[in-house]
Amino acid sequence: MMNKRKAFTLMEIIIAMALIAVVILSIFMINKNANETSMDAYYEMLAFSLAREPIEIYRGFGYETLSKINKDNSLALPQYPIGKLTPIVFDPLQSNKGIQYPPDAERFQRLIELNEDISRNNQKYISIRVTVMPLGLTKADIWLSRKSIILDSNIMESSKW
Amino acid sequence: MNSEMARQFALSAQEEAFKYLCDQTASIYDNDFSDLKEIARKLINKDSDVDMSSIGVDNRNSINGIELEIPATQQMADEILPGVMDIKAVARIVDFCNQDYYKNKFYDKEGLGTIEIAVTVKPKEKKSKNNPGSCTLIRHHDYKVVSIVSKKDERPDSYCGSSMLDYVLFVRKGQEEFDNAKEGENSLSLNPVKNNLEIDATDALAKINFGSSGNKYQYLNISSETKDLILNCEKAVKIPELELKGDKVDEIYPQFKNEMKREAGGESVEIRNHKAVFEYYRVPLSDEYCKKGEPDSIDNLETDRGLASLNDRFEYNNSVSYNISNNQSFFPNGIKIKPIDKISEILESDVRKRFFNYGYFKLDLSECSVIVDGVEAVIKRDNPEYIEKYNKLRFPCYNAAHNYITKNPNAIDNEGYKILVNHFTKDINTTNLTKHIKDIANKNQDWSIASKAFTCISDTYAYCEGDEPPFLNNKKFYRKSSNGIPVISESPEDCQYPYAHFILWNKRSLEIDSEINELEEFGIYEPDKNLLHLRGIVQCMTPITLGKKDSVLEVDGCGVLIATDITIEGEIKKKDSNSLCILFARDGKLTINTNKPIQAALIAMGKEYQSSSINCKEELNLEGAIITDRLELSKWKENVTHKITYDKTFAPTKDIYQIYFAKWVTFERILENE
Repeated sequence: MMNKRKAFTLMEIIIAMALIAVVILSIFMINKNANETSMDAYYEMLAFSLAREPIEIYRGFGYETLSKINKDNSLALPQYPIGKLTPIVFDPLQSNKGIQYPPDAERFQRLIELNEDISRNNQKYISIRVTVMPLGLTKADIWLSRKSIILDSNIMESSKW
Repeated sequence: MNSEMARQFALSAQEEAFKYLCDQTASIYDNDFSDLKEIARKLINKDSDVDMSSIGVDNRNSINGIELEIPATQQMADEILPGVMDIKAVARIVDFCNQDYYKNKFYDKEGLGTIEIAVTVKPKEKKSKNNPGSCTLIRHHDYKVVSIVSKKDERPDSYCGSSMLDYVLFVRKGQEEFDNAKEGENSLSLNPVKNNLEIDATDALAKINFGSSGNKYQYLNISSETKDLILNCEKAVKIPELELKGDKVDEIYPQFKNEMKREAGGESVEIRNHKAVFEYYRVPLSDEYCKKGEPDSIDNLETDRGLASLNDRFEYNNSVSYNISNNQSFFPNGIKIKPIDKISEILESDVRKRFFNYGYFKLDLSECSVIVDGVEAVIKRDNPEYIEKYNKLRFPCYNAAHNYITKNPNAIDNEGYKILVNHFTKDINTTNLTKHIKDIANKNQDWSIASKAFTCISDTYAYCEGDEPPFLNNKKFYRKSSNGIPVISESPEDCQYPYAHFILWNKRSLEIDSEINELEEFGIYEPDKNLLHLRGIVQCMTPITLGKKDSVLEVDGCGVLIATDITIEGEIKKKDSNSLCILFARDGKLTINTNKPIQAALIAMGKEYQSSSINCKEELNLEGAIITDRLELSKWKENVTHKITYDKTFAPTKDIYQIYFAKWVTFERILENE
């Protein structure tokens, strides 16, 4: 009597392995996309924060001061220079002298632009535009899906009274 | 992060909407304060489509509010996301209160409120391919509505901060100033020897109040010499005749007949056709007529400016005429008021009693003949010196019943006149009537002579014309009681500060010193640009100096600037016909160091125990009004003519309000939607 031995054929194994590979690959792909989206959102959030920051700082200064800064850029705060694409500096030792950025912030650079204008109602205002973009070939550049983040706002001349 | 963009749009729109609201309500009037601009009108009148304060919470969303223009933000949004975003800003009244802590109501539409500015940023299409997010930003700001000028007819029975602007001149403690003037000074404050003050109240017939009240009296333009003669007096007895003939003349003035008898040497004398007339004068204040004074008569009355300045000369008898010399300038100093013919409408309350009425008894011998022993002797032919002598004689007599003088010009104090005449005949050449009356009074210890000589009736009003005294609408003044509730008084001394509701002031306790100038910091005063921005009421707790010599300070807006002391160094001019400036030295002094025109109302008032005053170190040229505790005219620059012309903008014929929005955000809510 012939001893019949039961086993997977090579073909079966190949097919099974292929199926497993597809499943595993899908999982990897999903994970990768999730990572990418997550990192994109993280860096986008960081970029928006870096863009909003000078707008809020300069909004607090008010139109009159900002108008002077617009005419003489040297009056701008050193952390927020006007018209210059400047890298964000992460310096934990200098944290008491300014805002403590997260380490990833140094992977960005920022451009602050001011423009003075008059509205149809004869109201003077400074339009402020902040562009934040990755600094060179960094993680931010890799993960951020957008080339740059641009945020605009207007700061109106305050009333005389 | 799509809503971040919407949030920035909302922040920009919020700022722009607030600025638009402030700008639209900075100058809220058109056509010389006649028309309110729409936004201001809706807010002041609290129109039903704007006011949420009076309806329940559930129905508040039914109030549409006023849409505020935000073109700059719209333009920015269109540049970044063309045609995608819909941005809207709306203002609504959340709350409004028109009474103070003590439940005293503010004037009419005055009050404190809260305004909501709601900005909505959302995509025009609900399901956009690139959803830009949406954001709603709501902020609340406090605002104040204050009355700068108020309509007289609509003032309620309560304190109104702007009511003092009815006056072109108001001297709150004028009575005290007059009563306490020291003897020996060159002049009394209200009766300066070397000062002229011309007040032109022609526009709107602004009132003048020198602060007299009760049974006390003031005499303007009477010097310290005549001050002692100011006493109460009783009503005078009237005699009915205007023109005296024959025996009446002899009865009142027997000296003439006696002299004729002496001339006749004891023979019988009959005098025919001799007459006497009375000439009447009425002198309220010095005025333009003082320059037209009648020399002879005035020479006999050296009682200083007040008596000499004629206002309303009554000539009952046309035969009595005067040669008036325009070149004569008798007693040119004092307070002069225009228009003269409306003086009784301008002067308020007891100041109407400041008329001095006097007359002359004068012999008329033009047709007189003297018959001596049956033979007619014409005096003129035989004794021309008599005509000369008696025609020159004018016997002053004073009318105590000065009211009805125009109606009954013969109302002369008979007894007082007789006494005066008797004494006058003893010293016919006297030229100092004041001294004479004093001497008489001192000698007899009877001051009633003086009181009869000088007019002062306590229970009636003087007036110029008409059968009855005009109705005097006694001014109601308000002072604060200890518990803060206004108490009504008719005494000007009780008058509360103008603009006393400090809760309606926009800014308080601003400081100016070597290190800080909050007036400039807040953009109210820009000395470099010579601009003063006024909006509502601003108070500075330190002295301020306005203007510069040889430059013009322009006033932009409408409001009151309060400080402890105010010094004006240069010209002040309203920027346009819808500007209005009130400078208020509170508990301090207002000093004017310029002779350039000043277009403003000047107020100097202090607490009850203090006295504020206005001091003009240069010739005053004011278009506005003066409201002060003490006039102290004698301290003003001498030998010049100070002029106050009432600015009809202050006339109480209309309401002028001002709205002020505080920058500070009292409430904020942001709703974002990705």
